[in-house]
Amino acid sequence: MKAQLPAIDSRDPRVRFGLYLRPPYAMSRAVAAMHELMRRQFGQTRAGKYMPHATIGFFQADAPWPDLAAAVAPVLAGRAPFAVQNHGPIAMGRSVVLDIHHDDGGVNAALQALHDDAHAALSPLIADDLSDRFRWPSDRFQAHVTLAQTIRPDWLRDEILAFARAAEPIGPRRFLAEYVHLYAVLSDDWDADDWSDSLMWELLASWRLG
Amino acid sequence: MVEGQERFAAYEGDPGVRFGFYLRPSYAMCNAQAEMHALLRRQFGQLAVTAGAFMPHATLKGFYRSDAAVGDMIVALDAALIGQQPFTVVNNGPIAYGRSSVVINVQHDEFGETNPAIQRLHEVAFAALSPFVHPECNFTPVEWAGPAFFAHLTLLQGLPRTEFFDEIFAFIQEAEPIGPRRFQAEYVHLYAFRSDDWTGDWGKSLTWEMLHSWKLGG
Repeated sequence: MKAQLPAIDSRDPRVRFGLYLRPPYAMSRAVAAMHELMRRQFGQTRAGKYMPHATIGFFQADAPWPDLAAAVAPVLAGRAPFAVQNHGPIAMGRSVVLDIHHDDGGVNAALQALHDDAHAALSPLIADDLSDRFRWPSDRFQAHVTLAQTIRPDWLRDEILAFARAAEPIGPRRFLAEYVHLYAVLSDDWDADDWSDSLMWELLASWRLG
Repeated sequence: MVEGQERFAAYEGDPGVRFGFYLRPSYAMCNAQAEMHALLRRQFGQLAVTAGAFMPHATLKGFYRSDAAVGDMIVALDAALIGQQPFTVVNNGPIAYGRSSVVINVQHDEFGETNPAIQRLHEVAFAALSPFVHPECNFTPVEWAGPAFFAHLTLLQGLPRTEFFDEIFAFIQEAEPIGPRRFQAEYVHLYAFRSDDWTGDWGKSLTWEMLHSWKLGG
């Protein structure tokens, strides 16, 4: 019996979509363990409300999610898996993340291209009046895996960064980018300070590169 | 009288209760299995929560409905377990159960032969508990019992969207070795379970309590 597909209403103001790179087991395990420790030691729960992932795009759309999946599928079809380098924890705004944006020669071109191509494919389906702040244009994309997100209070960030660096190496130094997921991510109020308190998510579609 | 009679009374004669008799894995195996349950929930969310609704275990007698006194089941198991000694279980790694579950095969030894000790433990427990099974039990008639028994430790159970199965199975395989290659089977447990929907998606509301524990050879 085929399970029913998730009934996600794109027009529901609670709904956002995430197109995420799913890390392999070893990276997933290391990130999940760090999320748990961030909760235990610092009461930082936001990053751990999400699954371990690297964001390719996060957006609000009018289109039904199967249309989003159909738009992104050709971008992923025929694309080969590629290596990602994990450069360890850095500060990113009020967050502490693993820097995976770079390889030895600079920006990881395969990751940047995946973002740019997915962004181009999805842009026509992303309503301008809804989602500007969720758009990540090419020059603002910085691939990362979040360990602690929008840390509160913000003066704690540097201590958490030092703490995360003490945990190094967090996961493998290199891993293969092989799976891309489309999620529905819901919050009762994305504009509230406590948007993550009500965060829920559901995996909608998965693609294996190559 | 068997210790715990007051707790047992809450389950006795309740058609919303199922019982189960399980092998409790060693600490190292338990830790590895529980960690995988937690990581699958973190990475794949609600698609992968059912296995983690249980404690780590290998089923010896699966879910059964019963109107019998729990004390009577315990007395029957006391007798059945006389002479059952601790034994070595071989962890043969994760395998697919159809396209909705992934389990660690602990039915076989290193050579692919049935582990006679775990098969025997299943058979004596099944025989001891069968008289207590309610005629309208919806699980026992379809249980893999006797020659069809297959001892396992469940990592992923009842995946509702099978299109994600290959990916999740590969994810689990990346984690190998999951727990020790061998561990000692030493403890067996009798549990009571409740669910809001035993004929449907029972995993969603599953709760459980351990009723009794036996140490093999003890």
